[in-house]
Formats: sequence, structure tokens, C-alpha cells
Amino acid sequence: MRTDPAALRRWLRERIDAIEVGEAGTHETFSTGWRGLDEVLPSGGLRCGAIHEWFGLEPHAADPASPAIRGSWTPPLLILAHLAQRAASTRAGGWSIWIGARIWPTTHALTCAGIDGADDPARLARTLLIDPPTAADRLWAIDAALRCPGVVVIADGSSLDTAATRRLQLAAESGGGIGLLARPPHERACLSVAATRWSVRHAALSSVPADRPRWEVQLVRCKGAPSLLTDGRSVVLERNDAGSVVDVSPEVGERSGRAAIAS
Amino acid sequence: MHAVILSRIDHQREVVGSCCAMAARAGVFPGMTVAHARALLPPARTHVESLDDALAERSLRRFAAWMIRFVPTVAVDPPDGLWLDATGCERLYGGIDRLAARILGAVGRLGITARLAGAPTWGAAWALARYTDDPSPLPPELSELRSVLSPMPVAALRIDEAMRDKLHRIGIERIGHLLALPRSALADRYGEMLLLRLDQALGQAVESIMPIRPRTPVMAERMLDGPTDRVEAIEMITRELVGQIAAQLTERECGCRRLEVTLFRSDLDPLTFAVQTARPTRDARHLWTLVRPNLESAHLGFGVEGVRVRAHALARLLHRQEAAWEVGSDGGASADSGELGKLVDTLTARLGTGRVLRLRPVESHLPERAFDLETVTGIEDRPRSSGPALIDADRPSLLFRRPIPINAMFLVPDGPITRVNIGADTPRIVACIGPERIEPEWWRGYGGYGGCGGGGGYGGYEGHGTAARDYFKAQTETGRWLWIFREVRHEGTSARWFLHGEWA
Repeated sequence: MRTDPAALRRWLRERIDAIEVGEAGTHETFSTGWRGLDEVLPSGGLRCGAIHEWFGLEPHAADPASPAIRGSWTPPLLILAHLAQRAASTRAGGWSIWIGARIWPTTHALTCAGIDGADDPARLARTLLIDPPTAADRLWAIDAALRCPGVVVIADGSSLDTAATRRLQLAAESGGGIGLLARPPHERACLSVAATRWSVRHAALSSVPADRPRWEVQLVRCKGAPSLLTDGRSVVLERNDAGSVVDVSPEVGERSGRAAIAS
Repeated sequence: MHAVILSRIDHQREVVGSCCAMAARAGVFPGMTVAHARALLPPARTHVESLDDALAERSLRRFAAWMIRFVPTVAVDPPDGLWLDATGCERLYGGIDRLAARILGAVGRLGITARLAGAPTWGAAWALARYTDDPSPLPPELSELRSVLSPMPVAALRIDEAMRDKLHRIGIERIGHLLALPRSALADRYGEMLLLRLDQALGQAVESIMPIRPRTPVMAERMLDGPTDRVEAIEMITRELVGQIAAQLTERECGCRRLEVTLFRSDLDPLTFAVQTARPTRDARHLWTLVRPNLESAHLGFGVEGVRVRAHALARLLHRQEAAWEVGSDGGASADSGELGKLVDTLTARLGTGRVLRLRPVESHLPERAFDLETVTGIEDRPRSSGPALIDADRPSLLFRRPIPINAMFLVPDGPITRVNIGADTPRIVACIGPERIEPEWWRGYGGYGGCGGGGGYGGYEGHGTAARDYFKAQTETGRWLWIFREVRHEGTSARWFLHGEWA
């Protein structure tokens, strides 16, 4: 029997870690490149081998629940392009696969979303665009792509039910790929097993005098993180003139306090 | 009929490399200038083409492979000869002359002029086929060779031109002259090669040929006792055959990029379908996942009597430990291009071609033309970064396939836009940057839009292609950044507004 409490504690820790492997996984994480986002995540970045949901932009100021405009939403393409590139640059092959014609970005969005504004034309050659004809084919394609090791999958995640997200999460775990799903904002109420869920909004005009596109990103849910970390604080991202998306959240004193809680 | 001349460049002159029989009758011979040859032939019925040595040799090899239907051992003798080892074959045809007649007949039907001679040695056959007026397929006896070869010119010994000139200079014209000379003197003055050729022709030295080996196709087939329309049975058989193909490919250190499956259906034409892969592969499981959907949708008719699977487009693929590496000890952190190739194949097989695409920049300042969607057919290990550079202007991240007609509202005429009307939504515009004038590409002609690339189909409203556009970046009250444009029209008509993209 172990009598040394420190050794016992260590042993318990290892046991717990071993049990948690299935969920949290042995997969690494990658930094989003935005300090504000990395700080709210318990592991300091988005996890590989998991899916992450990004709820897209509501085009209207009006009630988003009204049926007339339910179908119209805009995926946060520049944010996804930035993340895809961050993720791809941390992996050897660096291939990214965009599934669903609705979320296909333009060549400029793909090449200009540089970490440091640097263009990379070879990135286009490492980007595949998939156009599944039906929703069932889309789900199948996302599943197949996630099972391919070492790719970043960015997909149109509209009208996925809980079982579908479970299927994709399992696919991502087995393949080790990163799944970034763009989902319409009105589906935020749908249950999902995604590792993280984020909502993206156009930054309110009153708060910032914007002359560039700005978005407010909020962590809605994060698996394995206490809910107080996700309680409605948002990060403001801006697309600068060089074409890259940067964190422009006001430096509030509160942040350091939160970082202390997180660590 | 045309006279055909194959030309080559010799000392900066275009000379005849070889010519057809018709041209030869008119007096053309290899080595004369093409201009001279043209003068001898009717100009309208003369075809001159440059001689491609590599192509000629490939053709000769193919011809040799075709010749295997007559004799089992065939070797090529570039540039224009074939060696056929007919030993024992004459019995099958009822005599060597009958065999020769069949060969010459078949070759003639292919449109090839051939001379065929039989001899007990390769060297003598070479000489007889080229330097007798009417070569005979009946081989002379070995003992007769001396007398048969003696009157022939020394060139018949397969010696080069320099050697021939040297012999001519001292008056040796015929093989008989050489035979009269003492051997030791010949070897001292002209080297061993001349003696070797002489001995080979006379059968005093051994000569071997290198027969071509035809590549047997990688194929597996199974014929059934009777027709069956049970899909499971056919699937099982096909799967097994695909496995056999994979084993054959492994043996040859090859992979295939195309697999053809043929179903022999009773009372119907055989049904053939093919699957393509992005990279050469011999992974049976992967090939099966590609074949299976085709099989499921195949029309079996009254039943299938047999299945044949054949691999095409073979490429060398070295042995490697396949399955063990695919899982990856590091959780698959590195993107394996082989895995990616399989993914592309799987996606293409289920979704269809034209659904797996890649963006390629195109040199155009029209936003809907500035890219092209190309179908991905293969995955390179090292993707090229080709194509023109992108336009160095601010472009949105989302571009609508077809510009959406909108209404723009102003407080004062020609003043700033205050509101836009997009469908049911009328957001207020709080900031507007522009205009950026984009002129139409007049060199493409009017109405030349639509159908170019996948960006395509910029149809949908008339008058396009003739009007320049003024683009604005407009920010709505909700914080959206829209890319809208106004068609610049001539006087009279009112401007029309469109929404073309968004920074999302």
C-alpha cells in the first residue's frame, strides 16, 4: 500500500488522467493566435482531434428567430480561414478541406488571412473545396475527411443533430483531425458534443468606432472548463488592413484576474 | 497514297532519315537533302516529318511485341530490324516458307514494307535481309555461309561507316576479299571488332540476342458456372479479385491509378466501369471502397456469368510497411499524402467528379473571374505554387455566385447611400468607402460572361459585360461590411445596384 500522501496523490492524478484520455484525449492543442481566446480556453488553445463549432453571423438586426430569415446566415469565414491556417501551420502536411459550397471562401480570404499578414500562394494548392450535393453527403464527407490524419476540416455544420455531432466527434478523435464547423446562429439551442462552441457577432457599433470589419467572439461552451470561465465575456477581433484578423479587445484589468483563476 | 519522308538534321541540313517504298522508287534515299527529295516527288502528295528516335524505338518495340504471335522469341535491332528466333516454329506452320509468307502477309496488311531472310546465324540473317535482292526465308546450310556471304559488300558485316571507308580505301569491297586475307593481319590493322563480326556472320563466334518480354496485364477474372443476379455473390467475387490484383501489384512493386471492372452479363453486353485514384495504390481495401458503390448501382441484367478486374496506368510503387504506418504512433499528427489521396478518391467516388475542387488564381481584375475552380485529380507530395499573383486590392471573404440585385436609397441625389434594400431587410448604411471602378474586360467581347471556370455563371441579369462597375465597401448599422456595386450606365437609364460580397 502507498502511505506517502504525495505519492498517493500523484498516483490518483495519473489514474484520473488515464481515465480522461478517452475524452480529453492525448491530442495536442494549437493556439488560435488571439490572446483573448487562448486565455479563456483551459488548455491554452483549441484541441486537435475534436470538433469546434462556430455560430455564424446574423445578417439582420431584426429578430433572428423569425422564420422568414432563418435560412440566411453568414459563416464567419475570415475567422475560420485564420484558424484553419493556424491549425494547418502546426501540422506537417498542412492541408485544409472546406466542405459545403456555402462556406467556400474567396482566394483572398484564404491567402491573406496570414498570421503575420504574409501571403502564401502555395496554401491555395493545399486547400481542397468539396461540394456535397445533399446534406447527407455533407455529413458523410465531413466524417470521411475527419478520419484522414493530419488535415483541418472546415465544414458547413448547419442542421446537424446531436447524433451527427457525436459521429463527427468520434471521427475527429480517431483521425486526429481538427473539425471547425460553421453553424447558423439559430441552431445554438441544439445540443452538441463539440469540444468548444463559439458565437460570433458583428461588433456592436456603439462600443467601438470601427472602420474595419469587427466581430465579437464569445465562448458559449467548453468541455472540461468551469462555466465561470465562459460567462459571457467576449473578445473583439478585427480584420486589419493587411488582411489578417487580430485581437483588439480592450485591455481590461479584469482579464488578468480571470487568467489567474484559469491557471 | 502519300510519299512519307522522315527527316533528321545532319550538319545543319535537313536530310532524309528514312523514306517509304514509294519515295524510294522515285529515287529518294536516306542521306539526301529533303529539298532534293521534294524535287523528286509530287509536292502535293509528299509528307515530311521529323524523325523522333525515341518514338521510333518505342514503335519498334511495340512491333516486336506484336510479332510474338508468330514466334516466341523476338528481339529488337534498332533502328529498323527485328530478330526472330524461328527454331522449331516452322513445324507449326508446315514449313519455314509458309511461316515467312504469313508473317510478310500480316506485316504487309499493317502497311509495313519488310524484308525477311532466314539464316543459321544472326549476322548472316542481317546481311541477307539487307543485301540480297530477293531475300529467301529458307536458311542456307552453315557450311554454305562462306560462299553465300563472299560476294556481299563489307557493309553487310554490321560495321560502321568509318570502318567501311577504311576497307574501301585499300580496295576491299566484298566479304570474300576479307576472307582471303590472313586473320592476324586483319586483327592488327582493323581491330578485333571486324573479326568478331566476321566470325558472328559465319557462325564461328557466339552471339546472343536480348528478346523482349511482353508485359502481361495485371488482371484477375473468374467465370461462374451459371449466371447469378445475387449482388452479394458478385460483390464477394469482385472483392476477392481486387485482392488478387493487389497481390499481383505487390509482386511487381507497382501501384495502379485505374482499375477496370468488367461484368460479363448473360444476353447483354459486358458492363465495364473504371475507378480512378489520385495516387498509385495497391491497397485492396481502398480499391474495394471505390469499386463497391459502382457495383451496387450496376445493372446486372439477367445475371452475371463472370467478373474480370484489370489494373491500368501502372506506376512503380516500392514496398513499404503499409498498414503499420497508417495509424501513426504520434496519433497521426502529420498529413500523409497517401492518406489524403485516398480521401480524395473516396470523396470523388461518392460525390462524383467536379465536386472535389481546388482554387486557382486567374489573372483578371473582375472579381468573379479572378479564380478558377479546377477538379482535383491527383495529390502531389509537393504542391506547386503556380498561377498569377492575386490582385493587391481589398476583396471580401465571401463572394456571391451571382450578384444580388438591391436597391440603394439616398437622402440627396448623388449623395451618400443611406440605406440599402436587400430582400426584406433594409439596413441603414453608416459608412461607405469607394468607389473602386472596375471596367469590363472588353477584349473578351460583349456578353462573354458566364461559363468561365467555376466562379462562373455571372449571368442572371442582362446588360452585364458592357457596363463598368463602381464598387463600394458599405458598413451597415449592424456592423456588416458589404461589397456593393453600381453599374455605370450611360445617360437615360437609372443606375442599378448589386450586392456582390461580404467581409464575413
